Amino acid sequence: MGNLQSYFLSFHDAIKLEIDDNKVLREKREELLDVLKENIDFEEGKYDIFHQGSYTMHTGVKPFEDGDYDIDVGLLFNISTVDYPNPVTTKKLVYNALKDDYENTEMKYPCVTVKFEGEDDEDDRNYHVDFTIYSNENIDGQTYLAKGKLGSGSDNRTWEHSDPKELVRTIKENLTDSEDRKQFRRVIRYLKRWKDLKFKSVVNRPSGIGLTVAGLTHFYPHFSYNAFTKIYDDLDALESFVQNMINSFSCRINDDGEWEDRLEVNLPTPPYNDIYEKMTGSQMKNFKLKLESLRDSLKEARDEADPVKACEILQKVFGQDFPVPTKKESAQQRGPAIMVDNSSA
Amino acid sequence: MIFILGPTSKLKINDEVIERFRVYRQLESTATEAGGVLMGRFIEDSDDIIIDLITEPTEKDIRKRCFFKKHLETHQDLVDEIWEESDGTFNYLGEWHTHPEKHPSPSFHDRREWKKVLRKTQCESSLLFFFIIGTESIGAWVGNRRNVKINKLEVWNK
Repeated sequence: MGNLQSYFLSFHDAIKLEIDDNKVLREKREELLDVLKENIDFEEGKYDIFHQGSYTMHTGVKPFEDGDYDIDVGLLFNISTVDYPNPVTTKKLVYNALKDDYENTEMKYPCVTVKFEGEDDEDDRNYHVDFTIYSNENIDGQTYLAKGKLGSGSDNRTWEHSDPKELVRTIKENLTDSEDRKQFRRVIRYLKRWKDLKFKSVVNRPSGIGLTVAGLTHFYPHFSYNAFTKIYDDLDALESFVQNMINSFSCRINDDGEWEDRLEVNLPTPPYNDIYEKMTGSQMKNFKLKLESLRDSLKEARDEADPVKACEILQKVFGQDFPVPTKKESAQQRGPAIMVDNSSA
Repeated sequence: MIFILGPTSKLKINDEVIERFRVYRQLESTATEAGGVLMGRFIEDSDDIIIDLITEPTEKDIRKRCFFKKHLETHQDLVDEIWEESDGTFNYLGEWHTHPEKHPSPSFHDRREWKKVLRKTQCESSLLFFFIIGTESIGAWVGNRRNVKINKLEVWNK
């Protein structure tokens, strides 16, 4: 069934979000960076700006329904954790520079967040920009992420070993063939939209970065050859990616001595932690059930010969942005038929 | 219900059509033969074919216990109308009729008539299909207009 590919590609066009295509996002980011530069009380040093997050890795999707647009900016300060032992002190430089101009500035544990109300009439979504703050001039040559909130005691704040640039590079440069890479990015985007739809208002839902990193090990490009041209099959690629994730769940004993079926997705860069470590056993169970249901729907769509019906199945999985053709649109046009007289017995 | 057409192609009969076939089964000993033509879509970017609708017996058709002859003009008019309304996307795909047997197979007469259909029909498809509706199962055959060969189709099991 190769003929669902065009519908997947239309779906991809409908959900993909590249920051370069979105003027509002770009302007918000630049505006905040200008304000930061203007107001920051940091005479003694400088910082480098580094764009991270899904838009940079070409895995961004438009927010679903009332979701926010989120923009991630890394600030690499040329300071050492020895000179600045308290990470919150550094985070405060950013927080203080922005809080007077933007009342919705908040210091969260891993970042400083600024929220905006949507201004555009046709798209009144909200935006938020997450600034993550790093110490980038250390004797050991490593980068550390500032974690902690205003007033956090020394137990609740830390400089965490991190390598954000390497993480972005690893994801951006996953797979050597540029067309394979495009399929990787498309499939990640399909899954992220599925996640936004199926885990609506679920606490601790599987994060987009978790699905993206899972793709580094569990995704393989799927295509066939038509002479010298690769014909990509996103449905197959997605189905096998989902199946590989399901197969990688394994049982382990939790702190309460109970068995849990978990999917571990380890960051390929420091601190190498399991991105899904915060999900509870029952959240994991729910995640697996939803993956299994996704796989079953994908199989059902693949086995369905009528693209109209197959796309209806896929629209249930991915939401209204997945197109369903009319019967007319799904068929070839042919000339009239002139029948002959005949009988049966 | 799906039949295998080739390694990468399928023939699907949509459920609504199966439902109509069910109605015409010759279950009673007095029930007469029914028939009509198959219509549907050649799916874009594939070799799959979907049977979406059928023409059903009309007043002018000849219906006996073991014989059916459709009134050509009536059915041709129906086919033309549907084809036009669909902008050429709903096409004539072949013929169907019923048999008063559990698992149907074509009679000698049926095969000879099918070959005539293959030789003389004018249309843009090289394949035409022939369905016989038994009381317990449906049999499907494909005919090739180029060599006038007829083969039984296997049901596709996932």
